Amino acid sequence: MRIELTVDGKYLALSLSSDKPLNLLLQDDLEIRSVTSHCNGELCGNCIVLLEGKAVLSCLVPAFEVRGRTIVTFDGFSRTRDYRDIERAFSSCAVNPCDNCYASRVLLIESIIRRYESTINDFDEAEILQEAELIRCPCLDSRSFLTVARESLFNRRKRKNVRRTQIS
Amino acid sequence: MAEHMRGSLNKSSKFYGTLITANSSKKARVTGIEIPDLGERYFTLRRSDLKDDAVLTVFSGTLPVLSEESVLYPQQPVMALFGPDSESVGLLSKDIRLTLSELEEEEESAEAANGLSYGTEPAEEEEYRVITSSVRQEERVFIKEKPLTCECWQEGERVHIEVPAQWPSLIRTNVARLLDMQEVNVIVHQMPYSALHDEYLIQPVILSAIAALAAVKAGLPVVLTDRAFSVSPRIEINRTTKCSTEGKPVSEECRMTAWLGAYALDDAEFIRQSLTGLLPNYPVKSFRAEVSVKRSRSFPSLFFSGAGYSDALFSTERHATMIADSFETPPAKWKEYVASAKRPFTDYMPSADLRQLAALTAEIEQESDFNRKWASYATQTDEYDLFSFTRGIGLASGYSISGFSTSHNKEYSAQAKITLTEKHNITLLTSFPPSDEFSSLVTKTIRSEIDMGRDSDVIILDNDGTMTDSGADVLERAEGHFPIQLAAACGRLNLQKDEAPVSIVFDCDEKLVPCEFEQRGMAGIIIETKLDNLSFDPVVLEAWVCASSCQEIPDLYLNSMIRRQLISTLRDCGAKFSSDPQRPFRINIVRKDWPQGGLTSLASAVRGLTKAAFLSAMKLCLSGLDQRLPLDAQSVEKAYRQTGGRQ
Amino acid sequence: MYVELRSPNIHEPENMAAYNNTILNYRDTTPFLWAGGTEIMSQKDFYPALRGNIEIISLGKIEELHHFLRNDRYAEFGAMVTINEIAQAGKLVLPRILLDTINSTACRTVRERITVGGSLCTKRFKTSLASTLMILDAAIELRYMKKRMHSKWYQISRIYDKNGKLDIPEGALLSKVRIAIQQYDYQYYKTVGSPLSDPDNSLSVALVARFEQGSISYARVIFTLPSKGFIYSRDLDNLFTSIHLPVSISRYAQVESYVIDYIRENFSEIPPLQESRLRGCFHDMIRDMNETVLCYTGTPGERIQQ
Repeated sequence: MRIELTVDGKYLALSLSSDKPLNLLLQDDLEIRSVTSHCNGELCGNCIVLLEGKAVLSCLVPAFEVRGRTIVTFDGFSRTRDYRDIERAFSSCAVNPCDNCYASRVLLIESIIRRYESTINDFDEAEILQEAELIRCPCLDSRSFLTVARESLFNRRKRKNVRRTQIS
Repeated sequence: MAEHMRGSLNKSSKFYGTLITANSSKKARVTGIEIPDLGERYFTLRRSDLKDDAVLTVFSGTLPVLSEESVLYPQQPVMALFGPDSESVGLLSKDIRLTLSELEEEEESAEAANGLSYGTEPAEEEEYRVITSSVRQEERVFIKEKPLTCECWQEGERVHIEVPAQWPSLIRTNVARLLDMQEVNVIVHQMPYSALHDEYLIQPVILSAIAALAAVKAGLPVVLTDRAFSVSPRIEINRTTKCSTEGKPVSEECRMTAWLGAYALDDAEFIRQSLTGLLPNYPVKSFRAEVSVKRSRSFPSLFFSGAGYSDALFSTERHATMIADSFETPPAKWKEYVASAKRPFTDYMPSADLRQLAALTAEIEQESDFNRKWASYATQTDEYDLFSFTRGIGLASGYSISGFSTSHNKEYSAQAKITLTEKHNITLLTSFPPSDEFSSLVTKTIRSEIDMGRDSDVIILDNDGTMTDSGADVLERAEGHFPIQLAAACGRLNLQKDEAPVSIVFDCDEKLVPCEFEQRGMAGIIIETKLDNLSFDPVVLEAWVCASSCQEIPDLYLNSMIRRQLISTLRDCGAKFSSDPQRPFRINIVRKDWPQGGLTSLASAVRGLTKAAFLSAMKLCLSGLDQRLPLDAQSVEKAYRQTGGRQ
Repeated sequence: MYVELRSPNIHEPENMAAYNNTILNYRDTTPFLWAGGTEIMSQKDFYPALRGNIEIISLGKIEELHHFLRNDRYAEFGAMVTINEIAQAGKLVLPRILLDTINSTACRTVRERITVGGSLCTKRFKTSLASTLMILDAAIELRYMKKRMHSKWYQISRIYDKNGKLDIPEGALLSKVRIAIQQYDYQYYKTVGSPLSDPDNSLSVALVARFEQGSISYARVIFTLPSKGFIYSRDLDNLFTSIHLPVSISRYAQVESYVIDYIRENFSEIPPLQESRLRGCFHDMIRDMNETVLCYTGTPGERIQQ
């Protein structure tokens, strides 16, 4: 099956099996090094990418579903200024996840802060703590994840000088 | 070069491979292999394709590359299948059938054992209280979600191997021997990895050997993929302590047995590390310990969570709590009470002032309100009136070590090279994997030891394909141990500063210390837990850590290391973390200076102490729990029922 | 990709008429219906696999299946509406028990991919969403081929057999779900353990009830054992309906033993941990109900504060 998609800003056309999971597509066909996990349905949470700006577990997305869509992996995201907000938050909170899950945690936080960055709403803590459990890597607890997400949001709002308006 | 090769090779000019493994939990022999018609685009690699003496050497032990005659553990590689793409190879591998016949199991016996003792047994006629404990750790296999991929290609006389590896030199020597090549012709390109334990130590060697043999056989690049895993060994530790009626330990005996997998690789080092961890952190006049190692039907397990030291420390501290408990004294108070004497010098560890440890725990004892909570929880253990009361708090404190023992270092040498260049920059070449922590620590060490000008830089050289062998990246050697040796080398370089350019090749490990290990910092940990009465999950509410560390290690690094070790250890123990909005899980870290001077590395202590504090807290929640880790809901539920608890 | 591995053919109809045409074209092959794909893709060894020449009809682009509408009496959702969208859209009107069920199903990132239709049609395990919808008397619309395309509304309980196994005609499409907007005096939902990682030991309990003069006048209760099915019966509802509040210890013991016996009859043995968890949830529910009812005065219009 021919699939056209945009990955990290590059428009690509690929020929591959239509039901191939997105994580394998990124690993095998595009040799993207930040997506390396393939847990065979264990839902390890280490293969997160941004699909149209929202975090998804790429192992749950079949190739046919990404036709004509935009994907951002950690490789692409780590070159943006938005990444610096999250990177600084990890460092200032003294939270240091392992290399296996770092990329997924960053993209998950990015997806979360995009939901909140232009509002004055505070985090729905229960929801974020639940989101943190999505990544099963044992190197970090949910509370630390929440702290980093909160700090990242603060950095983002500060940098973008977001006018805080309540979204009704 | 690796990048160039990768770019010039397209997918159709590579072979993709997978391992065919025998799934037998008992010792077995492969009597038949049914392979479907493969066609010309596929090929296999079997035991018969290898030389008779094709084995991998790891430390003092050996293990086979492929095994048909005797399969000793589940998932042991029997053969490898290669084909034009990973999908079709994956599908075809499912059609390969192995016929196994079980072999007779040998009687289980200790393959290696050693002991240590000091002091003399007390007189029999005196009246003592005898406290015994037995702790157990079950064998567990941790499979990494990230597949382990090894890519291998030939370029003239040279073989290139691209793989994440904790010890690249081990790959080089083994592959060179298997292919009858000179070691310089085997180039190992180290890929980035993040290992929690030892998952990238032995498996990459097996994969690289198979991939290299296949690449030579096929004459084309080969990509071999498998799941990386590590095995936590089964361990049993029994202790018996005689205490005076005032609660002071008089003599102690201790016996530890570990089942380290199917092949003996470096049992002696495991025993040395374990004996060090078994040394009590309370004064005992007479102490005897024995560690023995047995074989089991599992992948070799050697460096999981610190080669025995952390597990032994766990039993030591758990036992200390049991002694305190038997005298109905809060463990913190008991430690304070007995800590007047020094722990004597042994071959394994220099003498230690135990008052330091007691003072350290006092730092967090008040903040956590430990004594009050302990007394309160202890009186309510197993109370199931209207509402079940299942809360607990545990404490542990101890010293840390890092790296291999002195005996091991004398046997296996590992080196690094530091150079003062003409422009007065410093370059460092090691085979340790590059990481931010490593870079910042060595840079800081070099800058503090050598007076460098503002314009001078510290450059950590790219170790891609390096022939330097800095040894295995396990036991916190790279970040916890190596900077100590680096500091000494910098001192030597300082003396030759005027002769630039000048290089020094130095040992990565200390070989001249009189004991096997030295104290590398100390820590005290308190953990508060509760039992979820619906799910029967052990839930950690809060943790307090007091860490005595050297000033060279920045706060951020220390805090994140402690946090990561504590959390991953608790998760390995089966703990869940409180997500109650009223009291979410928290870690409180207090930092103290390390009074003995020198660099510190607290990871091994944090792991062992976390286990001890966690199990002590859980025993306070539910007295009927087995002294066994990891805990799971099934065993907790069973203990809950047996102690009279019902909903 | 070689001969051994065939790429499935994907059909992406954009409306129901196009869907009908696709079904008619492949009526002999029983095409594979693809909703969110969460359950299918999380199967071990999903890829690569020899699926032969299969036809996959992806429902993602059918606009009708993404609609939802609401009036005073009910909310109606297309099968491709994600459960997260249901929770967001129905935050203020849908029964709280449904929102609790959705929120406990998975985290938001996964919820955004789970569709309500897919969730009701899982084959490997039972979701607690299906159980909760059963006690809320939800209805579903099925579309199926019988010479021509038919559609019919059913009570949701009709599409499962007594043990919770999905029982709909081969190739039928669950197209809509209708949930009545009604409130209850008491709603309880609890899930213990993870249905994904440990389906044999996890479970969930859901109950809705109305009170009248210190007793339960209407109750629907369901227990979900993900790897086995549902425990749901009129007898069980009736047993609860006759309960006087607060529940006495003897009555509590009676109902508890009835529930356990009922499970054993239907599912033979269940693991001790799951049984203890079930007893625990039951105990927690009764305790919570007692606690709630003791604060309830029963004046008209009063809702229990939970």
